Amino acid sequence: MRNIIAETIGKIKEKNIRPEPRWKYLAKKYSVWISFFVVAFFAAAVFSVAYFLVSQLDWDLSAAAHRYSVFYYLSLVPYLWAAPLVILVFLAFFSLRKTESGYRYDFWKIAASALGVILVFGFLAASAGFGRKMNGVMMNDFPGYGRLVATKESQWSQPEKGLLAGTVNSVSANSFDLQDFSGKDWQILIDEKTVVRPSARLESGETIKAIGQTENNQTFKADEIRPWQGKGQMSGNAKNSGGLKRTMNGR
Amino acid sequence: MENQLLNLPENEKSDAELIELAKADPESFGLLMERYQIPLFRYIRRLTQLPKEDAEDLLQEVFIKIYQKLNEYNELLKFSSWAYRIAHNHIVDFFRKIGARPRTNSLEDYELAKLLTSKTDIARDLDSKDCLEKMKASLEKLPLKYKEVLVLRFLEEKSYEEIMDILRKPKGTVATLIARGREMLLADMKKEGIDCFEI
Repeated sequence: MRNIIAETIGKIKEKNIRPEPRWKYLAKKYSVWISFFVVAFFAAAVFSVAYFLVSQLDWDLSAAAHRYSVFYYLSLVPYLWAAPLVILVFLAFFSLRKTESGYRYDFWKIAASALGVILVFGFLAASAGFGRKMNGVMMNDFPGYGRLVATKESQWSQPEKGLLAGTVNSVSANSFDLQDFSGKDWQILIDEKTVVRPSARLESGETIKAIGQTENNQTFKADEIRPWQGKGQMSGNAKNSGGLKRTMNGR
Repeated sequence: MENQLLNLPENEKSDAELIELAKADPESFGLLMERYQIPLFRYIRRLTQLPKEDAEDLLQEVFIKIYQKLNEYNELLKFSSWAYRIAHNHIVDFFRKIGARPRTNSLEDYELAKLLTSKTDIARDLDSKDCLEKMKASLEKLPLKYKEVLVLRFLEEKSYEEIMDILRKPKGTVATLIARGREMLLADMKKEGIDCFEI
């Protein structure tokens, strides 16, 4: 074997080769971490909007809106945000895997860590109202956005599927007038079988939601009336309180 | 610190201490090269099967790379794992550059036996030259990712943790690659009718 050691030292001296400065190594090392946190930050922002959209929807309407509940739930997924979120989660995973000791951990640990960071940041952003604000900006500044995501308004603007919401204009004994979100006026028919949720107030100016079916182009027969926020159930045990719903004849 | 290190006899200095000295003086790097030139040369040879002179050229390039990256060394790793990692990456780059696959035909016969001995009953009779040649051909067909783990585990006798650090792959992946590599090797030998090991 030739004298590799002497040859190598000779070459190092001859070509004046030096160890690369440590800052280069540290810059490379931290840039991977920075890229992870940048990706996680964007993923969290996207998550907070998706979470806002999902959390404001009513998820108990499958029977009214769809024959098969799985299609109903699929129709509510905010794909516009879910798709980039999936991509960002993958990027976060690979960034974490690329860190100096990322290879030491198996797939599930890395995936759980990346998801954990995104969820923590995401819920923080959501609780700070970022998702709601971002969704509002998108609604105002991007005209087609409203058609691409399921919002509470779009969910309750499907009279053909039995879901209608709007502002109450006037109330009479067996009906009330309602203007939906597109500005169209409806007559909502109610009778003794109509369930009015306890916190739903049938008063002029109130925004309510109605589940039922269309009678004709301007008339909607309501089976259930809910307030705009939530299901209108009061807190407490449903069976015992007896106050979770009331019918029109029990008002 | 440097003065304290210089007072120690050379053979008592740890790898980390020698690295510190080598950063300031290339001559001190010679001590590190002395420690690792044989194992690294053997590893390069086993993986590339290049002629001796070419393997020595590759070893020199690996040493220069190690020297250039001295500031990157992380003391949480064994120096040998880190040096093997650099050698491994250099070999992969080398084959990518020349667009060829590593060959296996200069593995020693006893080395081939080592690839099969653990947990198998088939390496009983390695007398037949014909059989060994066929086995080398089977090994040659293995993709590099399987061949390299087999070489590291059974010829370099590295632990799973060391292989994990050398290849930068999770331990589970290393275990899977080793198991699959062996399976593929055995399956191909069976397919080729290599029955001299009583498979």
